[in-house]
Amino acid sequence: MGETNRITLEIQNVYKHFPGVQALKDVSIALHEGEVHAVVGENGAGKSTLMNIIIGLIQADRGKIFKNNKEVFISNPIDAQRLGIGIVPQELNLVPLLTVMENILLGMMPCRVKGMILDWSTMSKRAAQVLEQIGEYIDPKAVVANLSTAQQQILQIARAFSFGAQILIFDEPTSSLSLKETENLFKIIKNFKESGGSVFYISHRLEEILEIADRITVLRDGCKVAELAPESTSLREMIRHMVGKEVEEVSRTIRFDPKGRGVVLKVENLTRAYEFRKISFELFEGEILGLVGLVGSGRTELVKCIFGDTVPDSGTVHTYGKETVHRTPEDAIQNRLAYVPEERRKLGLFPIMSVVENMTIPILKRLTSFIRIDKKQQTSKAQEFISKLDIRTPSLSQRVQNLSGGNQQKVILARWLLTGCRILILDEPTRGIDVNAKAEIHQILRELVAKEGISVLFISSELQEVLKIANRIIVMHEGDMKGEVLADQATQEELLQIALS
Amino acid sequence: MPMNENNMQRESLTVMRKILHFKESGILIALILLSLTLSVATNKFLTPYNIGIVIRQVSFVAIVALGQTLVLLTGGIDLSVGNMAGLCSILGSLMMVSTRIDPYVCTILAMLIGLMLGSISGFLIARVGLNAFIATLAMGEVFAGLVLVITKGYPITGIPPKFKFLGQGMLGLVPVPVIIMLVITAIFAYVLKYTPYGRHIYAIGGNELASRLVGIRVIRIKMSVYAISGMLSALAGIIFVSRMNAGQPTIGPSWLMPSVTAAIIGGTTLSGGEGTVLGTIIGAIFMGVLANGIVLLDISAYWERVIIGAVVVAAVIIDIVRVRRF
Repeated sequence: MGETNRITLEIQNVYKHFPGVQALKDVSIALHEGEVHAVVGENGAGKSTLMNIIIGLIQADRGKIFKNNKEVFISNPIDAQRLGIGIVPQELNLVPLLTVMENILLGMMPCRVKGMILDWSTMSKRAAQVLEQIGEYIDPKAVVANLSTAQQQILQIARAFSFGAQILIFDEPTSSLSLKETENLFKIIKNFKESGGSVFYISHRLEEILEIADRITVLRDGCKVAELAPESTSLREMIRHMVGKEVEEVSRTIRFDPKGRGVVLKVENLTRAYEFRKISFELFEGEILGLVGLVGSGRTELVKCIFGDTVPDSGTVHTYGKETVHRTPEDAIQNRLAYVPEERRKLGLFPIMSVVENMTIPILKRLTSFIRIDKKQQTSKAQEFISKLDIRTPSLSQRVQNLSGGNQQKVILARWLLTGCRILILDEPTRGIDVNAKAEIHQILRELVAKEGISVLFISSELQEVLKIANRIIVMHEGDMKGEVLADQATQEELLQIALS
Repeated sequence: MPMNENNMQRESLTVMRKILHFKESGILIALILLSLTLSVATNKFLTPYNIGIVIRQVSFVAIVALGQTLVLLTGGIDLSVGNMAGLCSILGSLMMVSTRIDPYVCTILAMLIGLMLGSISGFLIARVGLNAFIATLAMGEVFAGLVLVITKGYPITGIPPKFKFLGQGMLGLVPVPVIIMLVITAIFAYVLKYTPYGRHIYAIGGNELASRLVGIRVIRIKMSVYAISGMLSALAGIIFVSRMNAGQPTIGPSWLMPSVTAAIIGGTTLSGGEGTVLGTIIGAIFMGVLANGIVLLDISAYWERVIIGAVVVAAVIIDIVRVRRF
C-alpha cells in the first residue's frame, strides 16, 4: 500500500452545518496517489456532504483543501474539473437522447467554427480515444438511452477521463450492476489506479470494499471515527465503527417445514413476452421465498405482473387456493397482496406528502366515515406502526422526503402492513440502506412471518442477504426459472452456478 | 424520545417553518400590501362601489381557476378552459333563446355539456396518454372553432330577463357570482383536505407511478378533474351571459391565462401535488386588484399584460427561492 506515495488531495478539518444538523465536524482525510480510498458510513454519516464539497457542489463552513500540497478553493464543479476531479454519481447524469460522443464531450465539444459549427468527426475520434483508454468498446454514435446501466456508467467515467481527471469519485457504483459488470468495473478502477490515478470509493457493500480498497475511512454522524487498512480489518470491525456498537449477526434461517401449511400463492407457467417465460412456483403461508437472478433476469417484471401492474400473456396465478386475475394493482391489494418496489423514490414514495399520509394512502377509503377521512384514527394507526417498526421521524406531519432511506423504507413497509396484507412482495428492500436499518428490516420480516403468518417474496441482488433471510430460493436467469434450492443448504457460488447453468 | 430541550427547539422551528411554509401567507401579504398602496395612492380604490366591481370581476376567473387548480394538482394543465367557457355559454344561451326550457335548467345543461367535453379531454389524457398541454390546447381550438361555426361571430341576444339574477343579482351586500365562488371554494377546500378523493389528487400529482401501485384509480381521477374543470368553465361562462344579458362569442379566451396565474401565484406548483384552493382564490383576487389598480392609476391599459406577466415571473422566482432556502 502506498504510505510512501505522495498525497494528491488533502482535506483538513472540514466543518459543514445544515439547518438542524452538523453534517461534518472536523473531518480530515488524505487521498494518496494511486490508491482507492473507501469512505463508509451509515446514511447521514456525511459521506455525500464530503464528496459534494470536493466536487464543488457545496462549500465547507470551515476547513482547507490541498491539491498537491497547494491550498485550493473549489467553489463550483468547474473548479473541481480544472483540478482534475471527476465523479461517477449514483444517479447517472447523462442526456439519454444524445449520442455517446456528445455525452462524453458535453460542454467541450470540438467545433469547426468556435461556438458555431460542431466538428463531428473529431468528436467521434476523441470519444473513441477516451473509451479505448478505459478499455471498453462502445459505439460513439450510439444513443445513450439504448445502453445498459453498466455502459452508461462507463460513459460517466469516460466523461471524467476526457478532461484528464486524476481523481475519480465513485458513489455507490455497483448498486445496479450485475456481478460480472462489477468485476469489469473493478478492472477499470485498478487500471486507473495503476496509471497513477486516485479514487474515492463510496459503497454500502462492505464486502466489495474489502476487495477493492487500499484504505478505509469510516464516518459516523459527521465525524471521522476510524481509518482502517483492509488487510487487517474485518466486516465486523467496520460495522462496529459505523454503527458505534455491535450489530447482532442475524443467524441463518432455520429449515422451514411446509407440512400442514397452506399455499397462499401459486404461479403456473406464467409468461409475458420478452420478460419471463413459463415461471411456476408456490409460496407457503409464513414462508420467506427468495427470488434471485442477475440484472435482466426478469424477476422485477415477474413480481410486477403478479401484482397486476402488467398483464401476463399466458399462465395462471392462484391465491389462497383460488384462481385469480389481477388486472390492476388495486385488484391485487384487495386480494391482500402488497408490493414494495425496487425504486423507492420513483415508485414507492410520495416525497412531498407527510409520513402519516404515506403510510395510510392505500387505506384512506377504509378510514373514511361518510365522506370524511377520520384523521384521529388515521393518526393513531400511523402512530401504532411508527412505534412498532421504530420509525424515526421528528413528527407525523414531516414530509417523508426528509427521512433517511431506512426510515423511508420502513414507512412503506408500514403502509402495507396497515392494509392487512398476507402476501408481501419485496423488491430489493434493503438497497442503499445502512447496516443498522437493514438488520432491523430483517428482524421485522422474521417477526411478521413467525407471528402473523405473512408470506414474503423477497428479491435481492445481494445473495448473502437472501441466503440469510429466505427459507427457499428460486433462481431466475434471462427470463427463465433455473431452479429452486433450500436456503440452508446453498451457497452463493451454487446460486450463481444455477443461474448460469 | 431523548433530549426534551432539543425537541422544544425543534418545535419552535417547525412553528416558524409552518408560517413560512404556509403557502398562502406570501400571496396574502402581497395582496394586503398592494391594497394598502392603492388605498394611499388613490381614493377611488377603497370604495364599496369599486370593491364590488373588483370582486365580481374576480369571481368569473376564480371559478375557472378553481377547476384549473384541481387539474394542476394532478400535475396536468387545462388550456381549454377559456374556449370551453365560450362554447358552453353560447350553447346555454341558444337553449334559453330558442327553446322554452327554464334558463336555470339551461345553466345546468350547459354545465353538463362542459362536464362531458371535459371528460373527453380527460379521456385523451388519462386513458389514451396524450400530453395534457397538447390535448387541451387542441380541444380548446375545437371549442373556439365551434363557437364561430354556431354564432358566425354575432352575439346571441334575447336572454330571458329573469336570468339576470345569476350574474347581476345581490344577496344582501354580496353579488351572487361571488357567493357561488365562495361556495365552490368551501366545497373544494373540504374535499381536497378531508376526503380520499382529494388526497388521491395530491398523491397523483406527487407521484403518479406510485399512486397506481398503491391502488389509486389514477385514470378515473385524472379524467374527473378535467371533467370538473370543464363544468366550472361552463358555469363561469353562463354566469357571464347573465351578467351581459347576451351570449357573446368572445367570452372566455381571456380567462385562460389568469386561471393559471391565479393558481400559480397562489402557491400551486405546475409539477403537481402542491397547492390549495384558498391560495388560488387569494391569487385571483390579487390579479383582480392589480388590474383594477392599473385602471385607477390611469396607467395605459396596454401596460396591463406587461405588468401581469412580470408579476407572475416574480411570484415564481420567489417560490423557487423559498423552496431552496428550506
